[in-house]
Order: sequence, then C-alpha cells, then structure tokens
Amino acid sequence: MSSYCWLSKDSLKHANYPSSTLKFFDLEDISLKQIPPIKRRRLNGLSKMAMHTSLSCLDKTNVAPEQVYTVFASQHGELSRTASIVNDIVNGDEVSPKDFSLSVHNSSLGLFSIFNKNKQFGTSIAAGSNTFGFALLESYNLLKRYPDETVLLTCFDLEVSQPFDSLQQRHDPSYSLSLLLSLDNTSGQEISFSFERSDKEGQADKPLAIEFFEFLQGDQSTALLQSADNNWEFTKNAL
Amino acid sequence: MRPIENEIKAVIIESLDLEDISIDDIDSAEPLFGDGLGLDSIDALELGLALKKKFDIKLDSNSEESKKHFYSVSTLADFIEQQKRTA
Repeated sequence: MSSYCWLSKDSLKHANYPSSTLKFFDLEDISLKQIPPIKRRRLNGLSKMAMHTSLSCLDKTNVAPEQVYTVFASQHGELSRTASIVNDIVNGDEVSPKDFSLSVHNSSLGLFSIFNKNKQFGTSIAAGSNTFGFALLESYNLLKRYPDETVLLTCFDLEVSQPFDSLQQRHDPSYSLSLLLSLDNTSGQEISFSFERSDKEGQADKPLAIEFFEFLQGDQSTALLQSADNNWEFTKNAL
Repeated sequence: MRPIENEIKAVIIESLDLEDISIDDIDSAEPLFGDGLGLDSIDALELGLALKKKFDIKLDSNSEESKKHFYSVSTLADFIEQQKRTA
C-alpha cells in the first residue's frame, strides 16, 4: 500500500550507494516536530529513525497510527545503548536508568505504541541478515490470521560503531524502511515472495531491506536477493 | 534565587534531555513530576543519579522523605544544602 525509506547521508560516501540510486530515499535530517519535546527526548538515533519512517509511511495513506498491527525488525537493535551500559558497569559507574529501561530490542516498538496510543498486536524481530525477509513473513502471517487488518512493517538499523564494526563483513549506513501491508489487492502494488536456504555463503552489497526498497521503486518485475544464508525471490504481480 | 537552584535546573535539563527548555522556563516552586514539568518515574531515577554525581549526596530511593525532597527545584536545593552542612 505504501512505502517510505530514510537513509543516512553517510550513504553518499559508500561505493554501494551511487547517487543515481538514492532519488527514492529520504536523506534529510530527522526532526519529528510533530511529537512534543517532552516525549521526543525519549527517542535516540535508532528509535527516531523508526518513528520517522513509520509516521511518514502512514502519512501517505489515511490509515491511523493507532489502528495498525506492527512488526518492527532490527538486526542489531539497541546495540549502542547496550554497549554504553556495559561500559558503565566495567568502569564501576552506575547505569543510567533511562538507558537501562530503553535498552531492550522492542524499545522502538514500545515507544511507537505509547506515542500513538496503539493497542494492537506488535512483534519485534531480529534474524541476522534475513531480518527484513522474516519480518515480511511475520507480517504475512499476521495478515493471514487477521485478513481485514493492516500491518506496519518497519525494518531499521543504526550504523554499527566501534568496537563492533570490526566484526562486520560489510559496513552499512543507518537506515529505516517502513511498509504498510494489507491483503487488499485493490490498492497499491502486489508482491509475492519465496525463500530457500543456501549452502553457498553469500554477501549482498546492502541490507535486504534496502535492496527490496530499490526493487519496489525500480522497473524490474522480479528480484533475486541473497542474504548470508538464504536466497530470497520477490515478484511484483500484475494487478 | 539561590545559585544552587540554577545548578539543579542545569542538571535537570542536561540529564533528562530537555532540549527545548531553558533554566528560565523552570519555576523553582513548580512540581517536577506529574502536573508541573511533566517528568515521570524513569526521570526521577535518572535525576537522582545525576544529582548524586554532581553534588556528591546520598539518596535513599525508597523513602517517603526522598519523594518530598524531589517535589520541586526549591525542595531539592534545601535537601542538598542540608546534606552539605551535615557532611
């Protein structure tokens, strides 16, 4: 039904993100002025991105934020907040209560639900390099069970910083992708997908979510995308 | 106004990420939690930690007394000055 993707300006420095491919992305700084400052201060870099693309994606439709079922997906989640907590403990300092309370993987989903008074089902997912694919599968499961509902899928990750960046085979800029999904095929684009385990160790140029968004915006009708251990096939169906 | 009140307000703004609020916006007598500045229980813990670091004071997080001390900037200033005197 609707899609929206924010990408850090740092992507302009990455060889995998030539400027010609960035025209569909939002590269602007995030302000979230629609959220009162007293609430906005609870958001860090990660949850700001997720909130921004979720609300921007919903803004393009007339679906209210309190109505949607939510699937929030992030490979690394609150990694920087967790690292900061561990640093405090190692240094013998007291841990920040705010950092502690917001260090869980579903923090961004929780903040989205609180800020928007959303009491619907919500799921938080991490699945390595398949995170976006399995979030899409989870969204599909929700829609098959609740066929009249709409699912907001938001897949997001901050750039992995020191000391964990040395463990990354590929360095990705911060991004957040939001999709609004429903089984109603009378509006928007219809997508089908399948996946299979791959024995060949693969490495795509970008996170699966970014590659999917580029496929969505492009002219190709089929995309074969590779994660570290799965092959994903996405097809745009003619309506 | 006592200088310590402005110091407390600066700690509140910095430790609680109140980016759009200045020292002049906080009334020393106004309640910090609930209806006043609108802070919540996580803020209370965060503020307690920041004040402990800044003023080297001891806090008992479970006591009714602490609740009274954290009512406003003015009551916090009284509490910190009292601790400094007895230290």
